[in-house]
Amino acid sequence: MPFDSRNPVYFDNAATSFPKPPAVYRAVQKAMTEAGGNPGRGGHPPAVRAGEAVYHARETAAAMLDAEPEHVIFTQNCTHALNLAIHGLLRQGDHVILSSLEHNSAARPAAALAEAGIIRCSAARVDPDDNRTVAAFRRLMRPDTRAVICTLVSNVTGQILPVRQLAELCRSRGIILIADGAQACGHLPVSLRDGMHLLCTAGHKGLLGPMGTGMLVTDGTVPLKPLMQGGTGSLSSSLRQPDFLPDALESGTVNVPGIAGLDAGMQDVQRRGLSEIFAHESALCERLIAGLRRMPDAVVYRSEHAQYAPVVSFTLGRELPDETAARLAAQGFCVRAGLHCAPLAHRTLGTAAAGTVRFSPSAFNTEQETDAFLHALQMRTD
Amino acid sequence: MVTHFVVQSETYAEKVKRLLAQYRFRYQVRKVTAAAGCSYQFTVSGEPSAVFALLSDRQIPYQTC
Repeated sequence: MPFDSRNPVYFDNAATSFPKPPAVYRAVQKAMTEAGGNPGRGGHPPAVRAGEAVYHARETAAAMLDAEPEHVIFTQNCTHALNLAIHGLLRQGDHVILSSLEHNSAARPAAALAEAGIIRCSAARVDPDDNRTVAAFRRLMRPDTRAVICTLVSNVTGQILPVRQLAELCRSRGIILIADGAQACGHLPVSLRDGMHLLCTAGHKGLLGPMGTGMLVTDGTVPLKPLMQGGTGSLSSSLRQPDFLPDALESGTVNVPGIAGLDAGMQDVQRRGLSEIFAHESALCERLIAGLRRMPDAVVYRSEHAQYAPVVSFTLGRELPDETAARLAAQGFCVRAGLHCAPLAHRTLGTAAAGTVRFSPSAFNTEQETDAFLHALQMRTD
Repeated sequence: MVTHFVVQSETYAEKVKRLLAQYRFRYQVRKVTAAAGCSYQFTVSGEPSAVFALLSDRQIPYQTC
């Protein structure tokens, strides 16, 4: 494959998906040109159209995730959603259990609360065997355990965590389950019916929306204290923040062009079909893994006992992951190397020193691109 | 019989529109922009007991007028 620095082959969709479907670019443009008013803040047509566009996106998300539209809170990203959930829920004296694969978006807010002496944290070691993982969480549960924070899919290895079993366990103990769906939504079926109380997700990854979009989706049973207060366009004569969703948690003007783009992205995912997307992306991962298995010094961070979303972490012999990624970039391939903002996961894997190289395809990647990527991997000078 | 009520959240106003259409109520809605923020005044052709039961069942915050 000829190198084209202006149009490299993008395999970094776990960071953010690229390219987006054409409908996403059109939706952003349309929102900016035709729905340029402030939703909920005026009665004139541009404001009304903006409000309708935002509500339509809530409906699309709610239908996809089995939630109510008013329980969809738009955020800047998944980190913002996780901070809303973690800071909004936890109180003095609460105990929290995180999985050992959490991203810093969940681990850092929890660590900050622990450092301030507000909560206590435990980490449950994730095992390739789901039953062992659930048992690890169960062992750590105490009477003061308020919440479990668990990613649905590791952003490092792609391992799928047993959310239904964890939700069942949490609900039987009266514990709130906060799920990080950043790497799952748009690749796997994710539903509030799986039992999580709070689902946090990015809008710009598998859901194919623009960067600067995310969502907190609740089952409506967990009151959350807002991270910030401000204008909502509703109950404006009161100095008190509205207590109904989404206004309670959605202060200030929302990102209408981004949300319109996210709506188009989610519709594109639904049109393609989650099972088709998953099958295509997983087939590319399997193709890569088969090629890596033929390279004697390649290490693939997967277990035959676990299930995986379409993300592959690997290392190549003595070549450092950032050297591999730089070499690939020079050959026209985009991957991410290092710790992927998930030091807990890399400690669990034993790769905390230098991390791994992460390959994360999208529905737009092809077998030919994957083969060319493998060929580039083999072009080493050592 | 006509039922009047006000919703003060744009999100819920949109939800109410869809709900009323789903249950085949004829309605008009007027968006009022005032100092106290936007509100949505609904006029529905239907029994108040039926309309309010529908809103309450879906936990929609509304005010009668």
